[in-house]
Parts: sequence; C-alpha cells; structure tokens
Amino acid sequence: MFCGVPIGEETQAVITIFLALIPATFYALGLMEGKTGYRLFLTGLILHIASMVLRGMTVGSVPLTEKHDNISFMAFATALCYWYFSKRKGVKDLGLLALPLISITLIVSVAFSPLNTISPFQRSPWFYLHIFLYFVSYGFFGIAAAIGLLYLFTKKGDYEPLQYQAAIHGWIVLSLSLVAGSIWFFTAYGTYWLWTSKELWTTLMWFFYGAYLHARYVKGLSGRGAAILGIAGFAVALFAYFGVGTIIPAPPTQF
Amino acid sequence: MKALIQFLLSLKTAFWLFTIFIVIMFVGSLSLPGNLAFFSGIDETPLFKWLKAAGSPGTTWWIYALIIMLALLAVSTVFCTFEAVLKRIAKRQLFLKLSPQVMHMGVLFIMLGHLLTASLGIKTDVLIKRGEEKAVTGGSITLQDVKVWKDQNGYDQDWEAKLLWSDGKAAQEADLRPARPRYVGAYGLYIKAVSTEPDVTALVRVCRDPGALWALLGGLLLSAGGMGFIYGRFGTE
Repeated sequence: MFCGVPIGEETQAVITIFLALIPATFYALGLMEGKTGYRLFLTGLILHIASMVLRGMTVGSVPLTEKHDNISFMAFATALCYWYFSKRKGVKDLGLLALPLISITLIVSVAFSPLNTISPFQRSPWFYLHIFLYFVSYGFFGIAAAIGLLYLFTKKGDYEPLQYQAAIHGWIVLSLSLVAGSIWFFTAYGTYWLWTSKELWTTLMWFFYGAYLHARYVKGLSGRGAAILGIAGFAVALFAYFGVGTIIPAPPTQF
Repeated sequence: MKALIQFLLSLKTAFWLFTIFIVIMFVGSLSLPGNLAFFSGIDETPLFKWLKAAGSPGTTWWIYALIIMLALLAVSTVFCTFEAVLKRIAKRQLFLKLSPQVMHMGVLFIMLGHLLTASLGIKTDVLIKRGEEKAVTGGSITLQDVKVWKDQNGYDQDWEAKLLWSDGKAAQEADLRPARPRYVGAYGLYIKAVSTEPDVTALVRVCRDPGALWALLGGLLLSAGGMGFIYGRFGTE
C-alpha cells in the first residue's frame, strides 16, 4: 500500500528510495556557496517534509514507529538544528560537515525496508513523544559534534561554547525522551526499565553526556578537551542506535 | 569529617564516579548478550529477588557494582545539591537559579523509584482461559471475554480482554487493551497477548510497583529542571 493505493513490494521499494534520495541530493547541493546553496538546502527540507507526510499517509499514523522512519526523522531533526545553528547562531562553514551528515543519514534510512504495520502497544501518545524527542536529541548531538570538529580545525574560540550549547539542548531533550519512554513502557508492560543491551547503551549515552556537561558546566574542562569529549559523545550515541543489534547482539525482548 | 565532605562535594569525585559507572555499564552491555540464558528472567522478577536467586555474583558482579556506583553518585548528588541550594536560596528567580539542583533531585527520586521497584515490586504473568478464575497476588481474576480486531492482511491490529477483578471483598470489571492498563488499588492489570484459537485465552500481567510513582515524580522534576535550565541560560538570547 502507498497512500491507500495498493502497489507491489518492488514499486514501494523504488518509491521509498526516491523519496529519500531526492531530498538527500538537495541537502548535498546545499554545499554550494551563497544564497543558491541556502535555497537548495531549504528545497531539500521541504521535500523531506513532503516525503514524511507521504509515509504518514501510507502507515496511517505519525511515521516514527520503525527504523526506516526513525533514521529519516533523525536526518530531518539534524537539518533543523543545522539551520538554527548556521543561520541564527552564525556558525560559518557548518554546512561543510553537517550537510553531508544529513544526506548520508537520509541515504542510510533506505537500507531499512519501511514497514506499514504498527503494534497496538505502540499506539500511545507517550510512545510517539518518546521517539520524537529521542531523535531530536540526536539532531542536537550530531550538530554539536560537527561544531566541535569545526572548532578543532578552525580554532575559533566562540565555536566550543556553541558546541556545548547544542549538546546540552540535546541532553535535556534526551532526558525528556527517556521520561516519556518510561511512562509509555510502564503503561504498556507494567515496568519502566529493562535489562537489555539497548537500555544499557542508552543509559550509558545519557551518563556520558552527563559527565561531559558537568565537566564543562563548572568550567573544569574547556577548549580542545571539551570539544573532543563532545565529539566522542556523538560516537557513543551512534553506537547506541546502530551498533547495538549489529555489533553487540540485542536479544529480542520478551515483555 | 571536613575532608570527607569536601571529597563528596568535589566535581572530580562526581566525574570519576560517572566514568567508572560508564565503564561498568559498558562491560555489562557485553556480558548480558553473552549470557542470555542466565539473564533471561531478569525482567520478569524484581531485581533484588532475581539477584538473590541468581546466587554468587560470578556473572552478576557488574550489576552489584552498578548499584554501588549509583549509591555513591546519589550521596555525592545529595551533598552537591544541598550546598548549591544553601548558596542560592536568597536569590531572585529561585527556580531558574536552582534548575540544575531540581534536575539532581529528579535523578535522586528516579533512583529511589528503582530501589523500591527492585526490592518491593511484584510481577506475575497469568495465562487464563475464558470463564476461568485464577488467584493472583492481591486477589483473583476471571476472564470474561476477548475481542480481536484484524487488519486487511489478517494481522491482529488491536485486542481487548474483559476481566473481572476481585480482591475478596468486592469485584469490578476491567477492560484491558495494549498500552491501556487498568489500575485497581495498588495493582496494575496489563494485557500482554490474547488468542482465540483453539481456546479463548489471555496472558495478563498483574503488577504492584511501589517505585513507579517516585520515578514518575523524579522524571517530572528532571523535565521541569531541564527546561528551566535551558530557559534560564539560553532563553534570553
């Protein structure tokens, strides 16, 4: 099914690839200089929104319930954070790192076949809020890492505080996501914690950023060391999502 | 005594506790999938009960280590929060100024919630047939009926189980759906799965979780403190 129209699996796969590749191409074209690049980026953003709306119409719900849609939304959240930090905070050349990151993330989403069924346990506003906030936090973490790398390369002193600002927004949004996720899980399964690799790595990520932000907040750590720690945080975040289940086995959870 | 307090107030202490905690959690995340059969029941039983049944801490040492680290982090957090509150209590916009401490209090309540859940929680899964009555902790349940809604491909899209819950004095009906439990007194009733063939059955979870409300309170404080922190620090930019 695609937007209520019955179609074959192959046709759906082709449509899915195009819906990801077209905005990914425009994001990449955003690397062009000046207003042209900016307009191409905005076009990518609008096309990305359109592709998510089409996915939503296909699944009959907010498209956040499975890996393909999660990764696509992760790219979208990163694009919004990029827009904010480059246009509102004036982080020049952020696009050099952020735009390829956004494009690659969107292309990676194609590797996961989109599913059109939703478990009844997922039909909860708390679940959607949890997933929405979780991937918004990844958007902030990705941009924080990109700003950190820019700081390491350019040595511009005002970039490192902006990296911290992006990371703390991400960490607080992640905290809100974990609270929403715990409420959802408790209403669905009667527990708010599970001993699985996924939960352990998500908690590890939260503590890792917690350690970085504590060290940075009281100014015990700044400059190069803080920038590297913030970048490492994003590596931990990527591993928590992509590594668990592939490199570290994540057992199928029995609730 | 003064040296001990300084040690607990030190950010270095907190930072090292964080680091050790992260390393232990990393080791645990590798140990857990490597011993799946051993850890298979950990989510079905309150933690402390499971640890006791698991015996000597050969494979579970990292969970004990995590608990010890969390306890030390809790003590460090209490000292740091107390000191910060005393310093800032006379200032204006107290909530915004104290938002990091509100977050810390939230984390402490979440830890308290986990402690209570791990030590006093009850979880029972019951497979019950239609018309059957089964005794559970806190009372008994009778399955009256099950409804299943299927999608156009024949997959279960949603389901509902009608139960009668009795605590020995009074009975009341409870309609359960996925992610829509029913709370009766201190107990929560959850539907995990249903079947209509060959028999009409339901897998029902009965829980009592004295830590959940504390964890929820902690989550709310963490959320409010986090938003207050962002507003106080960046809201005016």
